Amino acid sequence: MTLDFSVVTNAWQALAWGVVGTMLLAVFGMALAMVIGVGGVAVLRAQRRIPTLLVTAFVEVIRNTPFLVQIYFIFFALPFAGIRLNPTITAILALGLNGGAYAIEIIRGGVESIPKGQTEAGLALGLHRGEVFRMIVLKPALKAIYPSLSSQFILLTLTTAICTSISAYELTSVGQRIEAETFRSFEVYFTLTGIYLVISLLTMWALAAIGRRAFAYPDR
Amino acid sequence: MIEMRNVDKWYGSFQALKDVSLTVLPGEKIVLCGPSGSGKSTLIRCINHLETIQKGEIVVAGHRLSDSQKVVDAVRREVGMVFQQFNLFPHKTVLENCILAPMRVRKLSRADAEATARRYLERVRIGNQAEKYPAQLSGGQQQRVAIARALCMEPKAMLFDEPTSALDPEMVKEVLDTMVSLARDGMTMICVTHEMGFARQVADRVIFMSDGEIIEENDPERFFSNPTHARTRAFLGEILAHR
Repeated sequence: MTLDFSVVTNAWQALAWGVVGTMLLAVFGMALAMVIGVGGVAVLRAQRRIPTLLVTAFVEVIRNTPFLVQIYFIFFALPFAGIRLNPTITAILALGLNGGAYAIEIIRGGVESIPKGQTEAGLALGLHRGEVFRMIVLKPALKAIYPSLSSQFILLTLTTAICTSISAYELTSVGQRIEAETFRSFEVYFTLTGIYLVISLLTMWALAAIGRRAFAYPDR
Repeated sequence: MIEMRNVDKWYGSFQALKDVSLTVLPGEKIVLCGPSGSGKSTLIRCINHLETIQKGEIVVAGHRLSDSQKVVDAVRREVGMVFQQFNLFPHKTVLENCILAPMRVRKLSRADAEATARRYLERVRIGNQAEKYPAQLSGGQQQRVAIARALCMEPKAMLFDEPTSALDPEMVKEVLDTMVSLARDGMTMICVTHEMGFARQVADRVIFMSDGEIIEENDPERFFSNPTHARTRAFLGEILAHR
């Protein structure tokens, strides 16, 4: 077998745009997942029956079905309900919903790890439950689970590859196109593997840096 | 100031408070003692509605406690609380701990809230630590910050739930000194504590609880020298034996 990496190097611009597409999906997906995660936990904490039921059902449905089916559902099934979204929006939505369901579970664990005394101190000072959650419990809770949340977000970043199935613009779809034109499967996927590894490591590093900044206060 | 009438509280089938009645006048200092599980913490936690009661009534500064958020807000606005575990917010500096509620609840401007906070931090002799985080302070310092944080709401009464029980022995005194000076300034106080020296020094009345009931209630002199109830004598024997 002779290797010819020129097919890859010649397509460096397309690959670079693929990286941009992947990062875009990952960053917006994480942002949406974060909003859903925190919002979902806030809803659970309010302990109202119907909203709690809805959030719990959402988490169970997402966590017990394949991501590929979820993204197909949004892309191919929702149009029958009159909702038509372009591939990029669909991908971000699917990644955000999926990551959000896992984020709810993780963040809920963090919130439960915060001593009740924190909430009581806030209430005794006259703050309301929502204020106590936002201003007192949330940040220490996020700090406690930040490592798990980070690995979930790395997973989300790598899951962007599945979005190629609805032809969202990202790295894997670019790779597939190059492969289809050149038949150099080994070179293409070897390169993709390397690029994903770098993306993943960079994301990990970036998340750690964000965590260090956001949670700089000392714990006991 | 604080009035409890025939209060009953259950946790499931366990009755934590049995027909408790208690009147606290403005400026009075009450020390609550009794064996663990006797309901002393539960009693003061009912006063600011951290616990709800099933029977009887509680009136705080003219507000008759109910589940209404407005009433609860009004009561918590008048009553400060200090906890055994300090419960400072770890992600906020000492100063931020002290200004959070005044800004959110009393709607003070940041400048006013900070001025008030610095005044009370000075008062508990911790003014030079305002920019530190709770984890950087000793237990005694943390508890003094917690006292200052409660005072920043300018409460009419203060509840202390075993404020020195989680402290290393060498730090108990600094917290008690702070409480004594607060008492001297005329603050209405209810303190759950086993610090009998403190009780002798500042209490107007000492109340002994056992199994959810108020067993005995007297001024400190008579309470310590001449306890009438056998259970009180047994309890005092226990806690004073080691001093």
